Amino acid sequence: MSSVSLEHIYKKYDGSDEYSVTDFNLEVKDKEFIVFVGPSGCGKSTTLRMISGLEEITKGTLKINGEVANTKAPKDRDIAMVFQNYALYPHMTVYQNMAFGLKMRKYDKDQIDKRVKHAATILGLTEFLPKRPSALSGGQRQRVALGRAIVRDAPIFLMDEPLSNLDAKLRVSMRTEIARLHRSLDTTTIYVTHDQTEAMTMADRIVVMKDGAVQQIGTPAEVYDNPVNVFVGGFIGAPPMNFFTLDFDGKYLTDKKNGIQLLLRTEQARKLIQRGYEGKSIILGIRPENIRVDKEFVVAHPDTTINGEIVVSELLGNESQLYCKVNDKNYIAKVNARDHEEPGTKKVASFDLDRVHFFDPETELVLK
Amino acid sequence: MKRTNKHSVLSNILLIIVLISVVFPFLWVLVSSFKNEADIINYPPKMFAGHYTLANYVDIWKTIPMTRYIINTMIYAVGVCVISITLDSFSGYALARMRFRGRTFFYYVVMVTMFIPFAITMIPLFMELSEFGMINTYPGLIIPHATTAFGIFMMRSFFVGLPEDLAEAARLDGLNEFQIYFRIMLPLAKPQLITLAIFSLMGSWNDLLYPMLMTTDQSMRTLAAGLALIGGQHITYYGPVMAGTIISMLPLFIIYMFAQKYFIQGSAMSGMKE
Ligand SMILES: Nc1ncnc2c1ncn2[C@@H]1O[C@H](COP(=O)(O)OP(=O)(O)O)[C@@H](O)[C@H]1O
Ligand SMILES: [Mg+2]
Repeated sequence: MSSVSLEHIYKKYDGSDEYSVTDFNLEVKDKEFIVFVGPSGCGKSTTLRMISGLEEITKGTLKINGEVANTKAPKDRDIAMVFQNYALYPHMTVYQNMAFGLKMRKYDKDQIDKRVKHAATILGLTEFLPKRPSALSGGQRQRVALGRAIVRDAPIFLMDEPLSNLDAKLRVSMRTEIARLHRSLDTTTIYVTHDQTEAMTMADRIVVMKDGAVQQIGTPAEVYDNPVNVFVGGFIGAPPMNFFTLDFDGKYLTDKKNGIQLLLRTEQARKLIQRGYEGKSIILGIRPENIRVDKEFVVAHPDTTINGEIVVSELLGNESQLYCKVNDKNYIAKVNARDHEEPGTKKVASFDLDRVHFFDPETELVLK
Repeated sequence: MKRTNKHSVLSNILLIIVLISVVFPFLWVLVSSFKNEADIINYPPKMFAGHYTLANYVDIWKTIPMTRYIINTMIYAVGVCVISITLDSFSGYALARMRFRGRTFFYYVVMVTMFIPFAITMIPLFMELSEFGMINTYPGLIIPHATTAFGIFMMRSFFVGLPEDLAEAARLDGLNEFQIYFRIMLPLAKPQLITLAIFSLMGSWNDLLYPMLMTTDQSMRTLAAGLALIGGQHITYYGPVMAGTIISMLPLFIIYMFAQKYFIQGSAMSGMKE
């Protein structure tokens, strides 16, 4: 059993007058795969490094396996870490790189040998064991970095953007490999990335961060389907969610300038009125796949149409992304390849009102 | 393709010219050391003589205490080398990697000392050592050279270039700061250390003014100083001086041959970025 719990964790770097991480709360369960995701500089690495002990915790309580670990030395925290730049020791062979941590922990030779060889087999590194890191490709080096963590047999893995130095194709295959390793090794993993696709595909639970603060914690589906604010809605999902700032008159949502008018469902309108948005503006968020262009849907939903012109269109095999524009307003629709059109075409689309999100324009928080 | 060829022919010619102008004086000294005095001062000068002899080598050994000089030079050069690369790498590492107040200030102070010519510090240094009674002693020769700004600068540049992750990975592997330094950083710095060691050895071995100043006693002289002074003491015989020079160059030559690989690597500061 292993668990990590962060209670009201804050971090202020020496010489900086702002907190880099504020009030971080998270309960990581045994064998969970947690992904911290957010734009660069939002405090993901800082948080991970506080868990690892490489960075001091300014305020708050970190517990590892129920025990307060704030001041424990990194090596005593039962964790193994994989770094973005691999951090392999250049003067040691692959074998020595993997064995080093165990050697320092005074494991006996046979034990070390067994573990290193086992990890090498899992990772397909056996033939590279006598080589130096400089003789390996990026993907192989990353594998060695993983191997170094695996041999430690630590119950908790921390990974800081381990795939960001790899090319796109390798990244995808390593993604599956890491997920597979996580399952077979039964470790608790905290994984940092700025890439929402990695987060969505790998995580049991995602922690979305911005400006040092947690925005939302949830399963990929929860975060995708029920973003708590505009930021999460826009950050998770590719292409990103479309946002429209519209005026609400009690019945319609309109953007006069761009000629957009949507007739809300009665109960949707009722709720917004109840919350006092009548006569005010509101942000509507809708994912590209919920702006529909298929004939049937458009015909059935004539009151929620938008009539834009395609500016760019990308056919991606089974689907197509239409980058549209109506007056000054840009939006993206993700449609079936059958409905693909070339740029310059006018295309009537209709919003699927079952799948829209309303946000307050001031707080940018979702309206439930 | 053609252009590269032309380019390489030109650069080869240039290299050959440079090579000849560098090697020629050495060759001259080497050949002369085996000539008799008459052939050396022969005019017009000739590169090769009809008759070769080992007499100069015997003579030099008889006229001056060569063995003593060699031992002195070795103690001085090796002492300075070992102590200064140790201290330079420590300070370079600290200035590159440790977080402490005044780090940048100290670094600038070190850098500034590089620009102070020896001529300015020469007399005060002599007086200081004299005050301490360290003239004509090995510590007196070695301690003032126990660190060099250049060495600190070179080691710092190297350590600054190493990724921070490396030390962090080591910390997670359970190493303390000293172990990180000795087991990770120092092995990585091997080419730099060797380069620095060679620079240091060469510098001390050939150093003339400084050891001459700090030693007044014949028995404490180093090779370079000793050889430089024979001219004055014994009327100039070129042959023995040439022989002495060859003897004094030999150890450096041998070291350089063995360490050439590291020398080139270290000078290029290459290959460490993993
Ligand atoms: N050593 C440091 N000293 C001062 N500020 C730092 C340091 N490391 C990171 N920061 C700041 O903390 C914030 C979070 O950084 P980081 O955790 O690295 O972000 P992320 O990993 O999400 O890209 C950034 O604003 C960054 O400038
Ligand atoms: Mg980061």
